[in-house]
Amino acid sequence: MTDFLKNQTKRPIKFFEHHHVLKEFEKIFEYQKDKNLLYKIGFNNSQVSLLLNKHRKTLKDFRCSFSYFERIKSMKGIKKVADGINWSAIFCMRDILREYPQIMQFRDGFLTCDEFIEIIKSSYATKKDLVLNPYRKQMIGLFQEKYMQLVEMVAAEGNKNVKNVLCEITMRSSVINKYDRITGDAVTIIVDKILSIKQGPDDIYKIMHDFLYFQNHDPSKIRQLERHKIKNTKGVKNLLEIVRSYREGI
Amino acid sequence: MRLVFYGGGDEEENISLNHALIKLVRSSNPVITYIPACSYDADIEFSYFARHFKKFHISRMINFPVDIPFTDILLNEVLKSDIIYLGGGNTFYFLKTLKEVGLIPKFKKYALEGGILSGLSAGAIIMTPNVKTASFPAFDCDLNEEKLKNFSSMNLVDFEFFPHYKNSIRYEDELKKYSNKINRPLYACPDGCGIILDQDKISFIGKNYCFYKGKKILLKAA
Repeated sequence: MTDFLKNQTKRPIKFFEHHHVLKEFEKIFEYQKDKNLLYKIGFNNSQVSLLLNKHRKTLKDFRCSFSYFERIKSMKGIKKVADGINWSAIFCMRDILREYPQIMQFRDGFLTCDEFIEIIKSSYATKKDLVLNPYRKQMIGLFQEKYMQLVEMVAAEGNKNVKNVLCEITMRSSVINKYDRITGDAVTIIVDKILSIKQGPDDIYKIMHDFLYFQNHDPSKIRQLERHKIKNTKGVKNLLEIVRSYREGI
Repeated sequence: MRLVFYGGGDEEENISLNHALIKLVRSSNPVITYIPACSYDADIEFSYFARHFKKFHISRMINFPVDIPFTDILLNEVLKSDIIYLGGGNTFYFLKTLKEVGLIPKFKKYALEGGILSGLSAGAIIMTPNVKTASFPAFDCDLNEEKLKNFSSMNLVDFEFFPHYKNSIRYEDELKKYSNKINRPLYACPDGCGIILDQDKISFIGKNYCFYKGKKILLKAA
């Protein structure tokens, strides 16, 4: 837009492909992606800063394996759905991020490939989808090796035991990657459900307030939650059941 | 067998019982597994639980909700834990889930083979012969939304357990009435109070009561 205002001509987008602003954008974008991934693993703010500033290469390698599993789609292919098309993911990354640190508190070696797949597979995955080819085995190895390296780096920097760091990650990760994390599909159904509630605004507010308590994904807010005041009423339970039914949706 | 029954309450109210629980552990680097009664707020409850037990220098903990799919990989680690802690919540829902996933015999075996099994409120009731005490008094009971008909449970002890007991006439009447119908003691524990069973030795923390054949007896704390 700046270019257009300056030159009064609209140039093709390809003309700007090497523009320094795009390079800067790409840099910031990658930085944020790395930062988000570290947060999702369960590292706290100071650990995230440490890994971003000092161990970016290890993090990049980990992200490579993470993205591999995140992007794999079902061999069933694209399916038509009510509002367009859908291609199911066969691995649930939230599940592996939640379970892996728990299990590694007790293991001296890595999980076997079969164990890894058992944890990460989604309900959409078929037997064919889960075949262990050499590349997939390599990616499982890379995921585990780099994950543990990141944990070890944090432990070394903080003079902590690796198992202690894994326990801290377990606590944070169970909140961030909770089993019943809300999806867009669930939101659509919940909105319909709320619109059909024949109660006053105060009751609806109370249901929503209590429902949101169960959908907190920020470990730092746990201490501020008024857990004694929250009631898992039938209205809230209905919404939570919707979240669970659509947990693997988009 | 080593069992700990918690009457209810939060981490701070249960500090004496938690000390007693940790004293039962023989390992130098113990593992505790937290099993919530329901998974919906399991992460929040686990967070409080883990923070609290970290104060006891426990650094290995598992959060193991049973009403969502779990793998044998994690279950194997759970059954190797030094302590399994059954959380509080709706007793009927918790029992139904544990039965459905086949964990009642596994936890029973765990306790009989030396593992320390503990439970708070619903979790504690589940360790007894049945969960009937969750269904009364009408003014303070768990809703049986699951329509559970078979109330039989782990049957690890020969007494029944009533959590969140309040020392008032209306509770007393209900418990006396119930104790007349059964042939075993009924222990009633307020929040922050509980029972420790270490092999053949039974001890009580806080002000607990026993109801037996219509009589109420104050139990001597350890």
